[in-house]
Amino acid sequence: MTPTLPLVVLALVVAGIVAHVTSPAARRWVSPAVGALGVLMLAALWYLGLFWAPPEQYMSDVGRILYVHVPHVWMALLAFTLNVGCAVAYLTKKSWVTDALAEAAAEVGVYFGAVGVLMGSIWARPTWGVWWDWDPRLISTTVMLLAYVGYLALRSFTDDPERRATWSAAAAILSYVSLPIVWFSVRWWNSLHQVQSNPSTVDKPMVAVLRWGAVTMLCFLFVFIVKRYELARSRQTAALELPPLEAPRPEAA
Amino acid sequence: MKPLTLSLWLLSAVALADVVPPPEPREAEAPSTPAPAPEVPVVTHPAGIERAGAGVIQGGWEYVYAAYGLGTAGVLAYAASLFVRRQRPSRP
Amino acid sequence: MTRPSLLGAAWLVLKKDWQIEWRTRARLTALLFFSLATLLLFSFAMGPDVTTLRAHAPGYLWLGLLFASVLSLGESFRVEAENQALTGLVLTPVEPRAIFLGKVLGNASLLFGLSLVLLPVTVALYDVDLGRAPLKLLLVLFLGCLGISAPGTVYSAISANARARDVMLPLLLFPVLVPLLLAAVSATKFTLAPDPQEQLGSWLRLLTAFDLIYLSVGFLLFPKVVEED
Repeated sequence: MTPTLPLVVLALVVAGIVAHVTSPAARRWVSPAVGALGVLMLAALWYLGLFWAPPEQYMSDVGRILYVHVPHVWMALLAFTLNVGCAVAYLTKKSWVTDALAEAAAEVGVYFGAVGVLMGSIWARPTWGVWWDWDPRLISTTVMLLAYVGYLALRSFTDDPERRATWSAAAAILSYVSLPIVWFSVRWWNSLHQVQSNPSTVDKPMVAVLRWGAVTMLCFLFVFIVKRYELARSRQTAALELPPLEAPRPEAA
Repeated sequence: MKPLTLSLWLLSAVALADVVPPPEPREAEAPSTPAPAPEVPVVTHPAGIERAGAGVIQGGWEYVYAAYGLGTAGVLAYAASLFVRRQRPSRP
Repeated sequence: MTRPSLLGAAWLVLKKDWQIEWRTRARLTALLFFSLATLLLFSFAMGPDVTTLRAHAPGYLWLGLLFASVLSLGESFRVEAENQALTGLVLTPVEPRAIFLGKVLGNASLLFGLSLVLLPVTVALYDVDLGRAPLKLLLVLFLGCLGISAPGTVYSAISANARARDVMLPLLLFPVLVPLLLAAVSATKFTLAPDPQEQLGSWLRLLTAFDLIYLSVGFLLFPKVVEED
């Protein structure tokens, strides 16, 4: 396998996502197809990551965790970015669609982030000798995760749907803004203590498997968000018979 | 929805079955890995990498399997939770 | 009466908040004793070793302030939630941004005052040396309190009307305050102990950046949060 093969699959998946978003007719079959592709790719990832890829230079076989850990964290960041995009969109123009999508992206992002952080902790044990470390990436992902757990709690503790949408959008933006600051502050704090090990030499098969893992998780990310979005939408419909948000509100303008 | 989830479960079970033969000790392939270049700067980490002999951590397969298993179990569990929480259309 | 400018209106809100605090002095006293108890508990939990206590004093001070801030921030919008006072405030011909500025300054000044009272206590309990760089220490305290209040005001406006608001506020606020806590503790440490590598400056910059970022984000978001339909 070459590093370009996952990119080809990625193009396929992205085309599926675009079809899902743009064409209602495609919605029926795109997400099952992408889900099935994800399962196949996950099976292949087990083989590629565990047996096909060469051992890592310093970390030997433990380095194989990279192929599942890093894609999870990437997907979490992608989901949180989608969430904050929806939050900004909601505050600009109120819509139940962006609110439901924000909720779906946040929950799926918390799932991917939690699994990614757990994997990072598993990885840290044999390489650093500890379960936890002052690694800026580790800390900022965890803080992000906590912030979004708070976001989800806020959503479930607010009853009025419209207030929930507005407040959680504001909370999402505040949390997302904190991510780069957390990263910098931990790196500065950290720089007084240790130099972080940085695997700089990454050869071709490793790039290929890493990309393969990322595309695999992208498939799951997409299917999960679609299913969670449908759930959020049906809950919205059940909770309220969709009051007109676009109704004229003279005093609010 | 239902066939999708069933196929998720089935294929993931196949994926898990892929692991069953425990990996052989991989000495045979070891020479094919590039030897660490001599001028690579020493990685300093207090609890770290340089502690493990020639700069290579031996073994640790149980951690690798734990991580891969966690990833697969997570996908299954989250898919299952979405399946459980799905709402059947109550009104037309 | 002419419509006040943004800063003028913020000043009015700030004065109103000070007046409320002053008229309910019992609450202020309770807050003060709560943070005193926190500091005392830290020293009990860590044992009588003076070297350890002195080394960790900045962390205890800021954790004490952080816990107190959750109480004071929660209070600052709870009084507004009573009798729909916030709605009344939003309906006055005052920009919501002015309310935000006033509230942030009110919360920050309350916390800053609290930290001034706590400083002598840290001397007594942890044996720290305040005389090394007193002006810089005050600057760090002020920037830190402002940094807690800026996102804290938005979050407490949000959580004041949610269910389980006492849990919601820290759950939302603490993750965002992680960088502030790191920067404030490090900066305080370098004003109390020798700073051979001149690191204080970079932490002060980080604190200032944090304050400015959250003041501007809150400035943009607060009107959306309090707007009533």
